[in-house]
Amino acid sequence: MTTILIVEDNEMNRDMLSRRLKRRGYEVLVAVDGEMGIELARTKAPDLILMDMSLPMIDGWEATRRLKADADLKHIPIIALTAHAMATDREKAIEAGCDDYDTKPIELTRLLAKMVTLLLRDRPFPAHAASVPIGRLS
Amino acid sequence: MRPQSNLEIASARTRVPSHLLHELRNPLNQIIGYAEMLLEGSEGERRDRFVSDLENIRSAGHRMLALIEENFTSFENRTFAAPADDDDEILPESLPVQRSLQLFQVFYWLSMTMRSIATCSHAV
Repeated sequence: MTTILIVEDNEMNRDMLSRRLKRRGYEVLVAVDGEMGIELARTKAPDLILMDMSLPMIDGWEATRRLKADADLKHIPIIALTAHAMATDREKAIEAGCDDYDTKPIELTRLLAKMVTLLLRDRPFPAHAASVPIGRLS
Repeated sequence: MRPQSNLEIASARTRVPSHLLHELRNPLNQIIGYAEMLLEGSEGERRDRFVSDLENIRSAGHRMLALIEENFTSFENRTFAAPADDDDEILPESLPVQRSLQLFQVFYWLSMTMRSIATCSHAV
């Protein structure tokens, strides 16, 4: 089963997104700050990370920089999720190493499409991709 | 307290609405997300979970309303104050009017959303 790590400090955002992804067939891990996110990425090796950027302690930009600087973890796709909607915020997230970017309020269909694109990106096709479920798109 | 310079006025005019909209995105995310989850169906989840989701929608709505009240008042006071010196005003006259109309539109829309949430929550 495809595992998604959600790094999000807001309890309701975390609860909602994790349940919506579980309904679509994903296994979901949650971290409440950047430090916990890095630790879970190391120990649980998720297939993709959804990273809120405004986090306590280590923020999403710094957590992403650290993950992408780690040879064992840099292959994990990271999608930045932020309540900032300026064009410069997207550039800032990509510069930190995020593979893609999406804004809140989350439009789930759009986010799922971005997730699937990244999940399939590095997989040999069709043999391996066909054997690994990546969740439903809607 | 009067702003010290027109640069500060210009900065406040840009920053305050941006800050308000940023802060509103989290509760809006929760309201839209939980409402969509309920529309998708409970998929076997227990009734207490269903009620809990509605409570989350209501609580996010109240948070949003508080943000509107705090920030709208703040913006109103800071943006519509007369400039310190009219002769070195650096923004066109029409900009505060445009901004105020935009904010009133946002405020009106959010008020309608809040009213709908309150009606739905009490109906459950």
